[in-house]
Amino acid sequence: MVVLYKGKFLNSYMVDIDNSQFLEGIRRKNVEILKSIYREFFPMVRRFVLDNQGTSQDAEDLFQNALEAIYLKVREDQLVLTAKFSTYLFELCRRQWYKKFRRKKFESSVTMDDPMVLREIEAAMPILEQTERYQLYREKFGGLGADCQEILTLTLVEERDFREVTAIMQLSSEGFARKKKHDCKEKLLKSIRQDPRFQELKS
Amino acid sequence: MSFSDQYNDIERYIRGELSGEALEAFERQLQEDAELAQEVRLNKELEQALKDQDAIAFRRQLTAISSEMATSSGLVKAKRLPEWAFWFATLGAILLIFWLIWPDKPRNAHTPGEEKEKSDTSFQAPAEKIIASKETDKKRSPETNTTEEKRIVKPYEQEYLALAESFYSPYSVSSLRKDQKNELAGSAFELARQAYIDKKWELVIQILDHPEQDLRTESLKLRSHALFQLRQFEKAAEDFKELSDGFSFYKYDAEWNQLLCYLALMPEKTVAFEALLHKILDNADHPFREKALKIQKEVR
Repeated sequence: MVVLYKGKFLNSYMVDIDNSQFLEGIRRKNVEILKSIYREFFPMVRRFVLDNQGTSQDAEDLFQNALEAIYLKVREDQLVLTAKFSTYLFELCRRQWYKKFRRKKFESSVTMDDPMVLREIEAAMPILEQTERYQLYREKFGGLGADCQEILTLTLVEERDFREVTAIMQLSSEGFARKKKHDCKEKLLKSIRQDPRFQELKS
Repeated sequence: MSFSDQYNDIERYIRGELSGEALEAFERQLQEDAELAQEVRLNKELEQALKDQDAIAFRRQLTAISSEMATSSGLVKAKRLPEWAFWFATLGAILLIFWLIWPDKPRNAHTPGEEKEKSDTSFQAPAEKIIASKETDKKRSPETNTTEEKRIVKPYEQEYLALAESFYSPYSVSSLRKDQKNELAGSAFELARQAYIDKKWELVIQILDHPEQDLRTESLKLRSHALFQLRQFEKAAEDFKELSDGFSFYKYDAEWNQLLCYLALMPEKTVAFEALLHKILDNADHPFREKALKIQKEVR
């Protein structure tokens, strides 16, 4: 139920939004729903991480990874939840955190009485792990110099040919553009491979 | 094949640009060379990660929301109390107990009740400071003279009270968005919110005597904490209970604060305290479980 106050939609006081409203809000990137999710659920994730030797930034990363994974699944129409949205979201965060510490004993908050819920969470794990890896790649890409970011965007993302790249970036020759792209990509791949998180995230 | 050629082949393979013999040769090589297979996977994922502008935009949106909320509210990024604060408070509580049970107190020693009258608080134990600061707050607010406050607290009850207050974290009121400000301007809830910020606890309770149904949860958060600040633990516990029974992530906070209310009312509320303590301890996911364990040790 969406709470109305004097005929207006007040998200900070939403207490009874159901799963479909959350998922639809995420799919549509609805700012108000996303804010409500942050306001309602992030404090709990943050508290969990802080109580388990983590930082606020760690909590932020887990929370955003989980939401991105949910976004990717709803975008592909792959998510129908029987679990409560809050349970699902918190469990995705918890699992990332426990995986980070490679804890042998994993205590799930989902009991064995909930096989459907357990299946839903298990089904989300591949995309969640992919999200973590993609986030690392994007972070490393963001750490490159402006020139490298530009040439890799032009060649890898926009798939432009080297004639165009040479013209856009006003480089001396196509040969130089090829070399620059190669150097930049090598630099990016090296920084990814050297990050300890990459080894952890490699499945 | 040079390193550069191999990169080109990987990219062409990923984009489906290899064909015929070149494709067959590359796929044979992929099956034999695990390192190459891993390299192909990394390159493929890297391209996908950078190309998914939709996901990147979603992520940016989340980051923007997080920053906005951190700026407008102290809640999201609020720093938690350091670990030493807990131990300091515990030590204070122990010192207070010793002080209370010591048979040969100097004749001019002041009781905790007289603490508020004493201007020099430089050598107070932490728990005493907590109590003293509450008393000072009350002194500033003339409306706080209630029946429950007048309850005579016996020395051994002081111990529970000090412990409950040392574990208590005041509720931080979040700022309102601009549209909410306009909408709520002049409303009873907004007045109560301002009163809460100004620490006018009695006023908060008066305004929210019958909270509007639409804003009941938010109103109860304010009222319950105002009651706690006034040491009206019975009433505070009732409000916290209602909050913990509802759907909200605040339910765990509410349950925890309800426990602190029962602790403050010990030994009268021992049964209720024990029941709720075990409910929290039995829930492995309860965010306050660790703290509940600490309280359990203290109480024993």
